[in-house]
Amino acid sequence: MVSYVIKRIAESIPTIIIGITLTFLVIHLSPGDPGSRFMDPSQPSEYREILQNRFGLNDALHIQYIKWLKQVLFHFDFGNSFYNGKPASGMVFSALRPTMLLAICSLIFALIVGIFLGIIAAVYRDALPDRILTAKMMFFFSTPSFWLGIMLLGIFSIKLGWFPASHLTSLYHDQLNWSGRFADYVHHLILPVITLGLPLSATFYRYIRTGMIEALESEYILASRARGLSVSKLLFHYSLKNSLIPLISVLGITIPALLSGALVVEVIFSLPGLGRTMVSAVFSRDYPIILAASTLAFVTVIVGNLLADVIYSMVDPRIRIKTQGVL
Amino acid sequence: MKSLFYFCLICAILLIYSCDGGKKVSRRSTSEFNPIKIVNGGTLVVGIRAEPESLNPLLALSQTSRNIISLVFRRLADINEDLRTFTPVLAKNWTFSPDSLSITFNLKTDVLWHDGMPFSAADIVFTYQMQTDPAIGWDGISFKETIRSVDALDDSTVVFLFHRKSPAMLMDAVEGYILPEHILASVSSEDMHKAEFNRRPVGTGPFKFQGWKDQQTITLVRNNSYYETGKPHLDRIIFKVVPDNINLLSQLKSGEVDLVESLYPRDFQALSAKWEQGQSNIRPVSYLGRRYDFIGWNLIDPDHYRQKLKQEDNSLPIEDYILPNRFFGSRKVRSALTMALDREALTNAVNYGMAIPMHGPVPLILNAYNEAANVHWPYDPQQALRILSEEGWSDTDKDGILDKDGIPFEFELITESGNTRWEQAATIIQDQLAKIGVHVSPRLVEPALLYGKLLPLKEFDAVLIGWVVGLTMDYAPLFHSSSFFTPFHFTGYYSSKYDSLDDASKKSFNPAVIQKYYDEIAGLLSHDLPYTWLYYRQECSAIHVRFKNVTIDKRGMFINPEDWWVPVKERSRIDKLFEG
Repeated sequence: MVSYVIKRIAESIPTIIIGITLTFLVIHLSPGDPGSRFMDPSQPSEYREILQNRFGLNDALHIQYIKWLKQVLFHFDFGNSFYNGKPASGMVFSALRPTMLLAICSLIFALIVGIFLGIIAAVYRDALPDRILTAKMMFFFSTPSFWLGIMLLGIFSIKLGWFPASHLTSLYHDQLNWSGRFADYVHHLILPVITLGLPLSATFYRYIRTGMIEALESEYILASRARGLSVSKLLFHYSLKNSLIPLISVLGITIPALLSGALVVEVIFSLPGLGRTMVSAVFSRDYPIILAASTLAFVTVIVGNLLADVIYSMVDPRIRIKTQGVL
Repeated sequence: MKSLFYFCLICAILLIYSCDGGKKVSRRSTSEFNPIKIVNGGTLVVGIRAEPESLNPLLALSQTSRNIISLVFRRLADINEDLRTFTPVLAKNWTFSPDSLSITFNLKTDVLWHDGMPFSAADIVFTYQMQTDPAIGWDGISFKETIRSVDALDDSTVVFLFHRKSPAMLMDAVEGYILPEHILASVSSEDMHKAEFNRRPVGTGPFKFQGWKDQQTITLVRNNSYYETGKPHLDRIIFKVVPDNINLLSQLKSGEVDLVESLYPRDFQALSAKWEQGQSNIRPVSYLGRRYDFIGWNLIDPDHYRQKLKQEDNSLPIEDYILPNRFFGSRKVRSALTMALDREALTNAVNYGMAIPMHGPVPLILNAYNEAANVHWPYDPQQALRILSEEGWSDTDKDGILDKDGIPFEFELITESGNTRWEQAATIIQDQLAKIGVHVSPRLVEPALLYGKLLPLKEFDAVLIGWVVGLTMDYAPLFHSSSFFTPFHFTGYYSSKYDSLDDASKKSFNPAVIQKYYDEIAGLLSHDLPYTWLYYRQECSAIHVRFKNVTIDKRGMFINPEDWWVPVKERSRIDKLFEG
């Protein structure tokens, strides 16, 4: 297992380097000039050159690339933002924290809702609860996040005033004690988490429902039932355990969807995060931020997939045996 | 069953949305200034769409940055509403030398920086050095071009020496916020854009910086050591980042945000209607802003221009770069296209009535503005067609598009992507010009490509964009031959008459003579039409009515924030939470 993980990590490094190299080339070769947004008609024309020098864009492209890659690999330095002069790595990591908080909470919410409703639907297969749940989950599956977010915001925040309309904390957050701060976070996260988590729960719901139906119809469950095992043990110990296995592989491919979904949610609910940082960087041609954020996104997706594969092989011995055979 | 569920869901949503419509709110009057009533306290929450890039006055570009900076820092003097006279701020007073080539400022001696250090003349000298340092690239550097030197005579006296006399000497001297030498002297010019100061500014203004939560809030608190005793009245000002417009508007209506500076005209009109019906506590405020939009025509052949540029021969005269553009090289064609545009309708359609049609180059906000000086091109499509016909453009192949020598009158109108106002205007222009047989293809271009390549290299037919104007009139970067090869002189306009008028206006010291030159410049440019000026925009802002003594005019939103106050009875939930 350890050698498998090491091999996967070793394989990931070239993938990340190729990815960020392509990103570097695409943004540097696209026509236009990041300095143009800092110019206005009253500026002397030499100012353009000063900006190009400041941003390190006066060298030939391959020199820029080599300098940049050296800085990244040996010093973990992605440069400073063209926009506000802050270190890009610091900006991206600080933006990652709220995004991770949102993504993890949404994932937990989606898992709880998807698994719980999936079990109910499988138990009541083809009956009214199953039909209603499947129809509703199909609705949420096909609902765009921005629409769901705006609807939730309009109803529960603006009209009913139950939840805050924006931000991760209240303006007076720092004046609260620790329990108040925790409650403040929860209060602010409920609507964004539902917006991001509900469509995802519909995906999990489908997998769990299908897996549970297959499991409940399998011979070993029938045999266990005949042996008089309790329903709860049948459902949660035998059927659910097997139904969860395909879900683990889905989790790996869910990470990019979570990150891109977080972007929409961050804008609607004015949350700080990686998505907003990336979008504003792209619009302002802030190369260091784009590259730092892309690298982080590559790493996150690859690590996420790797984790999913490792957990998959740990949970399902058949995979481990197959993997060892391959290794 | 399913349809019944959806029916119930839709009914519930509609019910929730409609349940608070039409209610009247109790609205206290926006009482006039009355010193007896004023009490300190209260929090102002300002909704902003994006974070400021920097809180260093040398590096700030966005309006949000400038607004926050205006609360934290002070100038030597502030311009008054007449845009001619000044009120002393950090300066106590000033005197011109008998030869009018220098101004001596006597400074206030009771001013402290927010960190407790005393303010002195050394800060003024240092600020001037930073402002004129090319490695820093302050965007107001052109104000300082006429200044020869700035010298401190003692801690409270500073002298500005000028190269030549000009009516803008005082404005040039006082433009820009004063920086703390004791903090920034150790930062090199090259590292200025990375300085910690940019995110933790220290100024002399009525509010001092308290904290910046990334992408969320920037908090300023009252400066208790402010030199105007008893001011400011508000405890704090919080700038809250809300990028989504719908959310921002909702928060303004719900009271989570008290002030929004730049509302969309449509939203502003809706708020105004509610305000007039007494259904809202949000006071809409509109004033002449600093922005105007225009069509810039490419007067020269872009291929010929680039070909000449490739020769890299600096000895070539400007005339060699100019080969008239096949469409817009003719002044008559430009006048015909201008006459084919219904600017009144266009202005109203894209600005919801919150703009004024513009006929010449001088911004309405400036004292130099004189509408009578502009050449007016009335909306007259028939006359436009006749002019085009005289210029050889007619629909010979009966395809509905004018042509000349086999070339159809088809061109691209580029504009910045993401700007819905310009996108909408481009479509209307396309429609209006189609009526005279001119085919326009609107093209949306990313800003970095537009300003970084297409305009500087003159790689375009026509462009629809806008400028933000300063408080002085200077069109040299746009139309003077000395700036012919610079990025913002993209039309290729070249007129020796313009050059001489512009030069003469800068040499004169007599206001009446200068105004005469400005009028002549306005007349010449509105006749030659390198641009077709479309409209001058009004700023649409709104502030909660509980804030008293608020002055808002063409200088902006934050003219007298130190005077704003909130009666105790009208304090909001946020105010009370902060007050504990």
